[in-house]
Amino acid sequence: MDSRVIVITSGKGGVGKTTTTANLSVGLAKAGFRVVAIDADIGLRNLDLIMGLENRVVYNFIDIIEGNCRLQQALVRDKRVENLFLLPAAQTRTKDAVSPEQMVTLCEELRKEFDFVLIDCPAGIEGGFRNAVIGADEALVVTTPEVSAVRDADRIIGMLESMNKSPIRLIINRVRPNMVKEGEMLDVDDVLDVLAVKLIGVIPDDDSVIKSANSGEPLTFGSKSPASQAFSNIASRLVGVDVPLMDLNANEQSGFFAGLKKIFRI
Amino acid sequence: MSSDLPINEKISLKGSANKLKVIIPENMPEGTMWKELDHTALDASNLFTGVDLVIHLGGRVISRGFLLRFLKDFVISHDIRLSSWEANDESSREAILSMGLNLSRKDIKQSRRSARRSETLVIHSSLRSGQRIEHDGDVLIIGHVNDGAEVIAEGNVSVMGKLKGLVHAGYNSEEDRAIIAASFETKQVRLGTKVSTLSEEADFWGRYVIVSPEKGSLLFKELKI
Repeated sequence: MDSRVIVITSGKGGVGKTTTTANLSVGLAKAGFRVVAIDADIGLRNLDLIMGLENRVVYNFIDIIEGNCRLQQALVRDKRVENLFLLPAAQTRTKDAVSPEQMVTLCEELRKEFDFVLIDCPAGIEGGFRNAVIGADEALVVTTPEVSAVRDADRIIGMLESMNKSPIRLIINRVRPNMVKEGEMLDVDDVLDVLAVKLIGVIPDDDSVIKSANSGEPLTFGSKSPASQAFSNIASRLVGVDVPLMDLNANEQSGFFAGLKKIFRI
Repeated sequence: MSSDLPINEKISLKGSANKLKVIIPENMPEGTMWKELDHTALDASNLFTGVDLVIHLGGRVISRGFLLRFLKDFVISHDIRLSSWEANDESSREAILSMGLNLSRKDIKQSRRSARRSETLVIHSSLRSGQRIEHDGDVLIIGHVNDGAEVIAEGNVSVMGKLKGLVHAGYNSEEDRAIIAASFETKQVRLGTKVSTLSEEADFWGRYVIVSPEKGSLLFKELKI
């Protein structure tokens, strides 16, 4: 297959870009694809932690750009799954350390080696964003069902469109069906109504995401949580498998207490 | 003034409170006009003393060279105080303004209107957050104006979708403009020099709304067609 370079972006910080990058990388690698996840958040390196590879980082991609090492030396191989690599960011540098041209060259080099190059984009719309996006063909925009995140996602989608990235697809993260039901949270349709791009997945708000981030074990390694299932589904949709959207209300009603509630019709 | 010209082709004077209007017939040949101006200044020099003159050009098309000669041969030569100019022709108004001279208040408005006479800008898509449209005429958006998007127009603005972003119609301080939205969902609109803030509690929220000036404030009216 032709190599695909996909940027995972959002505009707003803290909506789940890094978690999404980690989980999709693992999901795609488990499906047999050669995958590299690039942490483009120079100076605020996180992807290594979320992927549990922080202790194996020796070089970073600034080292490649500056000629301190070869590409292969900077790639951190994940031992838990075949064909998964991380290209970490430099923590001690700033986003000015890389130019858009260097980023394009790097992506072209990685394209030769991998089926998927996933780029974890920094928050914001400045140079760091532009560098992360410039080498990508397509984009996944992550948002949460909050008005501020949606407005930022809208801004980012406009910028991606002007940069001719296609397709641009949307991931809605941290959806809480109970709040949606009570009218306290935007629902999926509300978000799509504003953003008007194709939806590729909805991730339910799930404690397992926090636990997995802290333990450096992306959910798609084998967790049975709803969020894990949602990330796996997105990975499948990325390679063209037609997976229906999860019924988040069904997940909400599972578990012991939900069972009791059902029995007593509470 | 020479008396061999028909009355309606003579330079005439019209007085008001503390101003005197010099009306120059627009069809009078330029050669005749200079002579007539000179005669007028000499004949009516007592009328011109201590009074601000307004020069009415009608539809006459003039150049910067004309203005320069006018100032030299008429205004300076006869020690005249000039207040402003009235001109119906847009290029004449432009020539007057480009030389730092004053137009009458009525003509300034007219001049702005003409400047805004450019075609209506039609946008066939939604405006996303951060996108900004500026236009010196009317703007028609066939789509939504999302939260964080801005439309700044000297003319009217019509949004065929949801208006969630900011619209400023009559940007050049003219308030006889209108904003129309098929679904009004924004918390601020600007029209001319007026700014209005709203909340989702407004009766017309989410409705087809026209915003227009009314007795010094903005009137929000649901459009029922």
